[in-house]
Amino acid sequence: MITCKEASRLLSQSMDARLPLWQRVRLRLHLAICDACTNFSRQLRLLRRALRRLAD
Amino acid sequence: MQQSHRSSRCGRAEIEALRPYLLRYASLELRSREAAEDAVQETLLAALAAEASFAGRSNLRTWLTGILKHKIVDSIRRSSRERAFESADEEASVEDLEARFDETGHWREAPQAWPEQTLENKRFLAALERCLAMLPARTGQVFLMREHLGFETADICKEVGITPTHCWVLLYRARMALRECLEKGGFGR
Repeated sequence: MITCKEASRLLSQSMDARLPLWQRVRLRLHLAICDACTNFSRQLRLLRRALRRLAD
Repeated sequence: MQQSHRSSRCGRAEIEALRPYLLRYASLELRSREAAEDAVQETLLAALAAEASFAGRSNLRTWLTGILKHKIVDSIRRSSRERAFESADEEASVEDLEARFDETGHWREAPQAWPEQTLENKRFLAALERCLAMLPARTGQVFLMREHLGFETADICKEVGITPTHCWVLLYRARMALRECLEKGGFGR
């Protein structure tokens, strides 16, 4: 099982590139049991949408 | 003097009217007011020179923003050549980021659930701009190239002259710093 530290790094990377399958699976398993990282993941996506909005 | 017959659909005045928007756009990306003004000026000159090619193909603002993006990247490329990294904050190491986690790899302070309507919140967007301005220069630039201009990381590495690993780290660090800055500002509670 990966830690939050690793999960957060992978989540950031997944915003920029497609992760290999095994990493995606490990990330999925972690997110299934971790609210903090699930929140972090949502925050990253929200930041992206906000940044697109700032352009207008 | 007789007024010239206008066949193009956008005139000098319409292009000029978009200057404040373009300046705001460029200022977000380029830290110095001077560099932002230069990029906008170059954009307007290029636009006026190429006015005929616009020919109503797209929205004028979209067209100008497209030109501006190129000028912004030119400016970033020039300054990357001249400037070294500002501080240790911009190095490729993740040591500082690891301090957010305890020995077992858990968050010391867990990220919170931000409300769905956060995006509609003007105060959130204002806070986001303030938080962006607090990022180290190069970190902020790389992050905005990715999230605001929408570049792929491979292109960012090339323009800024850093390795892909360094690029990932800067993006990770920028995201981490922004979410912390926003939560400190009271969002997500």
